[in-house]
Amino acid sequence: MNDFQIDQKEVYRYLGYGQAQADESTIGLVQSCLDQIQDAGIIPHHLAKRFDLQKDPYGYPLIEGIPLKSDTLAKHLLQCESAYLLAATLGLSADRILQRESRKDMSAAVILQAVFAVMIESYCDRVEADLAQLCRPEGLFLLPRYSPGYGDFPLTYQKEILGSLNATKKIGLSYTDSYMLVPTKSVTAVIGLTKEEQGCHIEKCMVCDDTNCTFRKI
Amino acid sequence: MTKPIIEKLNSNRLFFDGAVGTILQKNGLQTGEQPELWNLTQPQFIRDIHEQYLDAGCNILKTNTFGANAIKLKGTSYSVSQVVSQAVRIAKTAIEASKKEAYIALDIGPSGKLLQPFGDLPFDDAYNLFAEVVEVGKEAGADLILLETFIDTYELKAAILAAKEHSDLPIFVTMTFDEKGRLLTGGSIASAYALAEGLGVNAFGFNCGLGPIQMEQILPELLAISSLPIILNPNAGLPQMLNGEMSFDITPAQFAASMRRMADDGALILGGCCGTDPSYLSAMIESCKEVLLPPIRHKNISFVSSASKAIILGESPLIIGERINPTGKPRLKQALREEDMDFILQEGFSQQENGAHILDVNVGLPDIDEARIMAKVIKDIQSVIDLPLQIDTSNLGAMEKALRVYNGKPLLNSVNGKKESMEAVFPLAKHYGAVIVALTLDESGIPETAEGRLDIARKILNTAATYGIDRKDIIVDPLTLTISTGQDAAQVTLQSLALIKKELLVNTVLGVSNVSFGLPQREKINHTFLTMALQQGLDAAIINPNSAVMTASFDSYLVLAGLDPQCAHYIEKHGQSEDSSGINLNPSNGELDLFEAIIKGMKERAHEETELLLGKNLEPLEIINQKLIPALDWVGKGFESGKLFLPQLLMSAEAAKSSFEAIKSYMSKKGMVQTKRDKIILATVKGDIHDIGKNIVKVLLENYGYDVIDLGKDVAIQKVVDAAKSHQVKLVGLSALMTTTVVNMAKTIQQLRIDVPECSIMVGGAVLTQSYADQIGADYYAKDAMAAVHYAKKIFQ
Repeated sequence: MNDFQIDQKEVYRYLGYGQAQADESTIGLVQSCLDQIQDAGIIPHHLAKRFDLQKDPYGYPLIEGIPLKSDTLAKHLLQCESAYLLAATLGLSADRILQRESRKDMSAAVILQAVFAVMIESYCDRVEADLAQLCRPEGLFLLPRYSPGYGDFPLTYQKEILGSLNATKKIGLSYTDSYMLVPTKSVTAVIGLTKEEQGCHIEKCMVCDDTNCTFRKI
Repeated sequence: MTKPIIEKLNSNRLFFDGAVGTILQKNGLQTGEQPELWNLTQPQFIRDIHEQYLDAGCNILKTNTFGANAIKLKGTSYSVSQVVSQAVRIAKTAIEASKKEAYIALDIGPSGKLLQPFGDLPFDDAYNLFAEVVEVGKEAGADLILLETFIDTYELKAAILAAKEHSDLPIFVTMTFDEKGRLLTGGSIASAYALAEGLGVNAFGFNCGLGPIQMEQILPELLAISSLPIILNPNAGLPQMLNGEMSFDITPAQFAASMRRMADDGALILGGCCGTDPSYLSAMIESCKEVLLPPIRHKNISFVSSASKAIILGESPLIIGERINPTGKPRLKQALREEDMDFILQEGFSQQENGAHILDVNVGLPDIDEARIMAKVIKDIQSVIDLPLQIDTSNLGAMEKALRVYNGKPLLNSVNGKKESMEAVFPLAKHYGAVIVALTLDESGIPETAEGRLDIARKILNTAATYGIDRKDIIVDPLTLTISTGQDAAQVTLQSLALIKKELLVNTVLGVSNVSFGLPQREKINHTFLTMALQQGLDAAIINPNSAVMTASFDSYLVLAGLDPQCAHYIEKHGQSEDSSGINLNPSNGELDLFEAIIKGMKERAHEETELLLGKNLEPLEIINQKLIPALDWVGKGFESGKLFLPQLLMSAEAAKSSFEAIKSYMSKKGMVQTKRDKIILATVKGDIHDIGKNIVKVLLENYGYDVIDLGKDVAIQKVVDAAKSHQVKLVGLSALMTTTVVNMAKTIQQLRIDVPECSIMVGGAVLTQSYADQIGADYYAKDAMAAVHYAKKIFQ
């Protein structure tokens, strides 16, 4: 992923620094982790599929005829007539690096964990920006992405999302028996399309119920 | 009667059919619906597709069974046996009706799940899953097995083993690469090919992912290395969205033209994948059928490989790192007995950093279960180190186990000229596709002359050939004998080396260090002997890559032999270091002591300072109590008060760990008895594959002197319970990341309460909170790693 910068401020935020300044040796280690990633040739992949948003009699959105039974998702998509399904992954090389460092040096492992989190999020942002471009001529705008695990949107729907995108075959993204995505540095989401630009596209993490989370942007 | 396909291939180009799924989608197959079920619900429709492809001129039909395995059919009302046998029957009927000569390929796609250690599907489960399909397909009358669209070499290995151990059918393999020739799981064309060829498949190639135009870009890489017939089943170009519908971007004519170019270049078996239909195939067959058959040349390349890397023996000399071998290494012996995998992995990391190309793995100790430990060590190393491994054992059980779990084409050390050895080792090496180290000794011992060793090498090669093992898969070891036992010992070895290379055109390997046994300052002899052996054409040297003197000789030789273009490797490695042959006797500049090295998170310095203190005859316990623990406490307090952050806490923990390692190594060497430490079990619960949090806790608990039994991630409930019982631990720590796995945490706690009620349980992880922890019945909620340390202290007070 050579062609876009990793926002170091975000990395420190994930590491729990908040406003605090990191010390010299941490800064050095963060830099060497970033160098390592540059050399590792991580190639992110994604799939995005637009679909007309049909709803079942209870108002739950349907994917391939299967209702996604989540009240918070239904509320999120209330205004939408269509939506995107998104799946994105940094691929197995990120997991390999993490696995290696967590046996070799845990301090590097936690930093890499944060760097990869920033990478996958900003990759998704970039994909979304491209999708937004595509939709603009139709007068449609993207809602923030909504992923399984948010609100009451169960993780079990990874199965439907990945199945609909044929993600396992196409980008090597699958899930475990407990519906965890593998490779782990991956995101799936439903992105609603609205006719009016929402005045307040709050950062996605603000819609989460966990107000105590250290990663929450306040 | 149709000729067997392998015979047919000798004089005929064969054509696979094209997509089935794409056609089904156009005819009403819903996304998410299993195309394989149409074998039972709409058999006539499937048969029609087969017949159209036969009419187009295709002569290998892929059965409609890509996803017909137990995992993907779960939840449907059909069994693997029903779906697969029906699919073969339909293909058979279609061929019979057409009166054409054609073959039925039992089509097997990946399981749909990621294998351990990165996913949760065990290798053996994948194997069983494929074996079931193979059994049914074979019974139903398939002519060959096609393993297609694989992206993971490990899963491919499970599938190939299942195919060859459950049938005698020919095995064709096609994998999906990207435009740069990489697998999505990180492998290369060479690493995947090396594994597949080693395991004895009959044809290899690409399918899906790319269109033919993109495959033209990566085909040369395969053509250059492949001694097997090459298969190409590309998509009908790249996918594109047209009016909201997915389609592919090239026409049948463009498809045919591109396939024709690749046929001219040497691809033998051609067909199509997603987006193709009979019109593509008939255009392709029309344009390719007259192309002369490519001669398939035996490339004679000696590959060894890991999951992502292939290395060629015989191109430029290689270093085989010898450090993971307990002979004469008390600290490693201790680590193997304690199953201290971290220490073993560190030995791997350091050798890789210092330039090893291959790592030797020998875990032979008289009092351990070698087969089990060998498999464990191999699995652990290959999950974090991408170098090919040399499986080094004389225990046949351990050998087979290691060969089976290894993800790649390994080196196998060793066979020798004894009948008994060859009879035992060759079948295993052949079955699993290893390159075998052949020692030039036999029933009458080690010949004293070069000619004698040549004779044994020749005998081994000839015998190997009778097992179908090619000379490229043998690497001869002319044996280094100790110079102190005979003054011409080294000369005979070097002469043997040169003679064997010249006469037998085979690669060679030597364990270099043995030459100096019994002499002072052995490295001085070793590195000179290494240079002499390289000069005689040695292809692989088993040495200690952590010895700066040895690698300096090796790197210098490459420069002087013209094997290091622009001296780039030499300059990169030696450009900045000071004279690395000198030994730095005084690492401490007196400014930093151990306490400071730890709080500043300086790993190497902490190690050096500890050694220095031990050298001054300080007792290990004094060092721990006066320096280490106070430093750790200082950092821990800083973390808890919010002045220090997690990376700093862990850098200090790593520095402390390397200090402890210096102490352990010192005590092992001195034969000092190490005090028994309190044991704690840590595990990431069943179903959970995220283990960063658990690993953080582990490092800190170890710092504070606890013996952490790390059961890893995705740990079955019973395994936690069994370990708690057998180790009689007082404390178990469980970690879970997501709501879906906290359920298993609760179940693990319940079972522990029943079977080991005296044991305390602490929990932690992203989704956990105090109230969640209370709800599932844990004794303690550790909000972070330091909290876990405090709780452990309380329990073991």
